[in-house]
Formats: sequence, structure tokens, C-alpha cells
Amino acid sequence: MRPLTEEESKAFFEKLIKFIGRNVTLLIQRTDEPYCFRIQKNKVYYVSEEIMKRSQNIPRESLTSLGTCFGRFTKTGKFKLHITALDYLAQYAKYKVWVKPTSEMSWMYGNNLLKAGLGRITEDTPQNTGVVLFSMNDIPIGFGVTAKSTFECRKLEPTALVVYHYGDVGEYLRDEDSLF
Amino acid sequence: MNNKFKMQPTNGTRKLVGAKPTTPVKPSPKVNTPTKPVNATSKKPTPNTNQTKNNNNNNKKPIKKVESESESEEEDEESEQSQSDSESESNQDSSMIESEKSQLFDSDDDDDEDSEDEEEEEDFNKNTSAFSDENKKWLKVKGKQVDSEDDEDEDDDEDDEDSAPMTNFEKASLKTRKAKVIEQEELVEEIRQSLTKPMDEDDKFKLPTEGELKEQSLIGVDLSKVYQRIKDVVDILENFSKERKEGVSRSQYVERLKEDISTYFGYSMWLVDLFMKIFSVSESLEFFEANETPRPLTIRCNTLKTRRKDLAEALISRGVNLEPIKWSQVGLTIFDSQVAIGATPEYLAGHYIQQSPSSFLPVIALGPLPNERVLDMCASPGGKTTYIASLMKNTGTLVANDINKDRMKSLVANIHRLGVKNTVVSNLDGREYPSVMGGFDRVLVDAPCVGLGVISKDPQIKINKTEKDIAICTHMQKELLLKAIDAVDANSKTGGIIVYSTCSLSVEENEAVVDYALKHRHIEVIDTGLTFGVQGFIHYREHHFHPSLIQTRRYYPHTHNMDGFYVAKIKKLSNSTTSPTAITTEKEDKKVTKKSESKQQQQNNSPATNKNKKQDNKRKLSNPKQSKQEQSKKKFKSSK
Repeated sequence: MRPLTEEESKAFFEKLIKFIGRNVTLLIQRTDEPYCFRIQKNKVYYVSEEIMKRSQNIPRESLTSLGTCFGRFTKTGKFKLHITALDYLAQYAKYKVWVKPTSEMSWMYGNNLLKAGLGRITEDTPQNTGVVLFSMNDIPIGFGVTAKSTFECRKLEPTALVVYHYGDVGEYLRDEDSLF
Repeated sequence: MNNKFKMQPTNGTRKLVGAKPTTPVKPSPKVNTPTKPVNATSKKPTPNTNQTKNNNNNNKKPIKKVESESESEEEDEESEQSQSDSESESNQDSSMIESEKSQLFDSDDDDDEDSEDEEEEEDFNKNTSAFSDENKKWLKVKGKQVDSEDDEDEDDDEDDEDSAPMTNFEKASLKTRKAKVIEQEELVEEIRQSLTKPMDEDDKFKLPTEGELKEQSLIGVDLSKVYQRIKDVVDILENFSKERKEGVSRSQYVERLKEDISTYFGYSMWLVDLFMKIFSVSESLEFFEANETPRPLTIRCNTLKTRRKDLAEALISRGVNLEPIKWSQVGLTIFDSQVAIGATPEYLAGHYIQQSPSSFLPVIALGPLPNERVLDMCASPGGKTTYIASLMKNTGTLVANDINKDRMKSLVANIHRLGVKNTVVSNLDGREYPSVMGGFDRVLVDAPCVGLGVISKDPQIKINKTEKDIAICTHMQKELLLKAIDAVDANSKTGGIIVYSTCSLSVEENEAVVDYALKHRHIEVIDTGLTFGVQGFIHYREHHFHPSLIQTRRYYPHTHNMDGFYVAKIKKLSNSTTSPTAITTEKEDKKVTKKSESKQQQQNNSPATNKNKKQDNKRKLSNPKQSKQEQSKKKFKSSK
């Protein structure tokens, strides 16, 4: 377990900013308790400093998880956000998309979101930006990248792609082996 | 296409709802009390009502079938009647007479059949031989229901035509009904007489001879007969002085019973023996039968993300039939569901976890508070861990440990899915714990066990486990519990609590382990705070345990309809790793006459005064092993 290096921080925060924008600062400078990011076995964890200190007692090879896992670094040094970060992403998300109940299951099976399943979308969402997806009763169900801006979405046909799939809660079941 | 949901369970116990029952349908035992036929004639028989409660939806199917069939028949008849009613007035009388006549004849026929049935049954009872014909029972059900319906119809007719003079046909019906009542009374009288009559010696149940048994083993065993014999022997053993056959000893009956249970339910003889020691005869039979039916599917609402009321509403709207568990704030029992309960959006969003109600209990007993430091020593798959975290409201520090690397994934997945953020997960042997990290406020030890309480989940246990497994488990459990006690800070302001639990029922794995800890550490057993459950054993066979063990709790499948479980709550009194019993044993040597209750007082004595003695004793107690280990280590080093 160690803090992130300069390069890693850059890759990591760039990705994070895509989804929650300037709210990243709220993650680092918390008013209740100091929190920090730590790397353990290529995975980035977000954890309170007290728990981080306590977990230093545990041998590195047996430390499996601490706090919340945000994602992992690939072998080529890119950062991949995991669905486990959804709680924080949903809390601080800048742009949100609400999915109609009919398309909920399709999204949770790992498909992209079509115009037909689009329930609501945050005003002036630009193209190619990170969004967090919610069901119509405000349960976060995943995150993705917009294919079209809000303005363009209005004129699209029902079969057109709106949000590219990035992560969904179905992964807890599908990818349990690779995720953890 | 990558749109495949893996339905594989994350916590190992998920089952498809509505899956067909895997257990073979038992031949329904024909009850040998002769009063049953009388009841059957007076009441509408309701087969299997007792079982439906236990096996939520599996047994419902056949009942529904019966009901629907009988209903359809009723409807047919009613429609016939309505047709006849609708005919012209002049024809009405004759047509009514015709239709009702036929009914009369029908009912007469039925009655005859019934009485024949009853006679047959009596014959069977006299022979006390196995008799199980489910179809017959059902057929009778239909007949009876139709009969009673007819009666009601007639009543209605009478009510309608109160003022009108009686027709011939009505008189006839009255007659037949009176005759029926008289017949019934006669039957009841007959049965009463047969009951009061002393049974002949020959009619009593006989144990099969050696020759018969050998013959059976050659031909193959008739299970229904074996079941009948089990029932009979249990009845005899319950009322031994009256029912026994002269010259047959109790042990002979018990031996027969054990062998029969072993063949009928498929347990190893050793296990049957073990359970018969824990339970009384009739209770053990209930226990074995309860293990054949699955426990109800239950979920726990994740209070970090939602409320039970909201979750219940969301699931009901998805077509799930559920009910809250009364004694818990967060439990829901699922009866049946149109969707897979382990793949709903609510499940994936972490609003609930599938968890058996028995594993709520140790966490309730532990009672973790916000901002504490808690250790869960054997955490996978995380049901209890996440429950602890939700009681701590995601504050403080929770350390979840498990030795098995394969089970880490489900543990970490559940922790993340349920939004638990205060947890460190380690993959260590629990026995390493006080040296890795100590000073906890509370520790939960859900020790690995033989699993004698979860036989309904894993029938393999019936034959796979041996005495040796228990011995190995017990050893491990004792070590784990001592380490858990060492990992707790006795001076903690809020805690200092250890909860020890297993999903096994043997006394060796439960009371004996806690008793062992009482002898080796300065602790006391306190009330679990659980409102129900059977008290722990103080005396078991030749063992005598500490009297405070009565405050521990046992749970059985047949009494509580949940997995068999054991929970003990322990308070640590001082941080010294020496045993207070070392003092007590010495004192007891001096005052042999003092009762065992004095132990508690002695525990309260300040341990500092007797430090030297204690240490000596501790050396005596624990040193043989240590010294051996050290010796072997030295040897190992020297050989290097």
C-alpha cells in the first residue's frame, strides 16, 4: 500500500474529473474526516486516514481491500474506473441521465443506452462527457459516456445511441471474478 | 453479446425461487389414531396444511390442484342446477326431483364408500402396518367436499321455500340425512369402544426379528414400512411403561430406532447417535424431519442505503411475495417471486442481501456501536460483516478477516455492493490476530464448524462428517476463541465483548469450547440479549459446564424454523492472558465442599494478588505444548 505517484495521480484524476468535475476537491478536502487515496496491488482505494493507518499492520500480501475501491491501473498505465466507485460518483456527479424502467435491465446487462430508454437528462450536457445513470426512482445503476449532447438528443430517432456503456451494477454478478 | 447475467451465487446460498424440490416426496404417514376418520367426515379435510407453512411454495402445488379440481366440479354441478332452475315452471318440480334424486343417490353411494374406507382403515390400524396411499386421501377429499356442498345447497333451497309445504322429495332427503347422522353416531360409538378395549398382546407393535431384517436387506427396504416402524417405536418410547412389550428392553427399542432413522433419513449411525444424545426421542424425529425440508428464503435490508418499508414496497411491485420477520428490524421472508431474487435492480444497487435469519443473531448479540473498533474473524461471505457495518452506520473501523482466499471475492463484492466504507479486509488465519492487530472493542468469532445445523442446505453432511472432523474443528475453535479474547481490549469504555457462534449443534463445538475459554482466560459469559432460543447445556452426559453457560442460546431447525445455530456472548474482565480458574482450581482443592457457584466470586477477586501462583499454573497448563514446539524449533534450527 502506498500513495499515488505523480503520473498515476494525473491519470487517475483526469478520469475522475470527467465524471464529477471540480467536485474532486470535495473528495480530498473533507470536512468530517481526512480521507486519502492509496494504491494496493494496482487498485486505487479511497479510505479514511484512520483506517488507512490501522491497515498498515496487515501484511501487504494479505491486505485484500480497504475502504472503497475506485478502480485499477492497467498494465499500460491507464486507469479504469470500477463500478464500486459508483456511490461517490453518484453523489458528486455533474451530469446525470435517468433511464426508463423498460431499458433498466438492458443497461444492467451491459448494453449501451438508446434514445428509446432515455427518461431524463441534465440540461446542457455536452458530447463525449462522463455521466452517471439513475433509474427513474433515483437509484444509481451505472455510468457511461454521452454519444450526443442534450441538444442533439431531442431530434434523434428512438434507435440511436445516447450513452456508451462504461460500467453498470450488473458487473457485481457478471464480473465478480475479475473485479475483485 | 456479453449480456449474460451470471446467476452464480455470490454468497454461496442463493437458490432459484420456484425450483422444484430436490428432496423426494415422503410417503405421507398414515396416522394410526383411529379417531381421524371421524374427523374427516365432519370437517373438510385439509391435507398437508402443516407442511405448507414450512416449505413455502414447494408443497403448495398439489394442494392447489386438489382445490381447483374440486372447485371446478362444484361449479359444474351448480351450473347444472342453474340450468334446471331456468327451465319452465311447470317442468321445474319434476326436473328438480330428477336432479336432486341423482344427487341423493350419489351421496348415498359416497357414504357407502366412506364407511367402507373407514372399515378398511380400522383393519389397517389393527394390523398397525404401514399404509400410505396418497391418492386415496385425495380422492376422499374430493368426494367429501362435494358432499358437504350438496348439503349446503339443500339448506339453501329449504330457506328459499320456507313457507311452501314439504315435497315428497324433501321428506326423503330429511330422512336420509337423519339416517346419516345416526350412522355417524354409531360409528363414533364403535370407535370409542374399540379404543377403550384393552389391546391384545398380539396387536402390539413387534420389533422385527433378525431373520426378517436379513430378508429385508436381501429384498430391499420398504421405506414406508421403516417410517411406520420409526413412528411406532417413538410412540412406545414416549410412554414406555404402558406400551412396551414384555421382555423387550428400552435399549433394544432405541437401537432399532437408530438403525431405522439411519436407513430412512440416510444419516451415518454416529450422527444419529449424536443427535439422539442432544434431543429427546420425539424431538430428534422432528429434527430429522425438519432437515428434509428447506428453510424459508430470507433477505436482510441494507439500512445504509434504504429502509425496510421502502424495499418491501419496491419488491412487491416487482411481483415478490414477502413478509417482514417479526423479531428483526431488517429481515424479510420471501415466499415466492416472479423474478430472480438475486438479480433485481434493488439487489444490484445493494439494497438487500440474501442472508439466513440465524446469521442475524450473532450480530444482534454483538451489538456494535458507531465509532467502535470491531473485528469479524471469519467473515466470508460478508452477511454478518455488512450487518455489523450498518449497525455502526459506516463509522469507526471494521476489520473483516477470512482465511479462505477463494471466498475473499464474494466478501469484497458484498462489502462494496452494500456501500460499506469503513472496512479493512484481510486474508489471514484468524489465529494470527492479536499479533497483527489488537485492542478491539468487539470481536465476532463465527467459527468454522462441522455444520450440523445446516443439513437441510447441504445433505452431504449426513454421511461425510465423522467424529474426527469434530475433533479437528473443536481444536481450531478453541484456538480461535482464545485469540479473539486476546484481541479485545478489556478496558474499552463501550465494549470488551466477544461473541462466539457456530452453525453446528454438537456440544463439543459449542458449550465445551466456551467452557474451555472460561478456564483459560479472565472472562464471563453474559446474557446474549436475544429474546428467544433454547438455553445452552450445563450438564451433558458426563460433562459439567460452568453454570453461566445457561445464558448462551441454541437454535434448532424444528423449533425456530431456521438453521441450527449457537450463540454465546462473552465479556472480557481483564487484559491479563492468564486464567482465573488457575486460582479457582487451587482454592477448590482446599475447599472441596464448596459449590461450583463460588467460581464467579473467585473470578471477581483481583487477579493481581495471586499473580505468581497463576503464572505457575499457567505454565503447568500450557507449557507442555509450547515447550515441545520450542524443542522442535530448536531441532529444526540445528538441523539447518
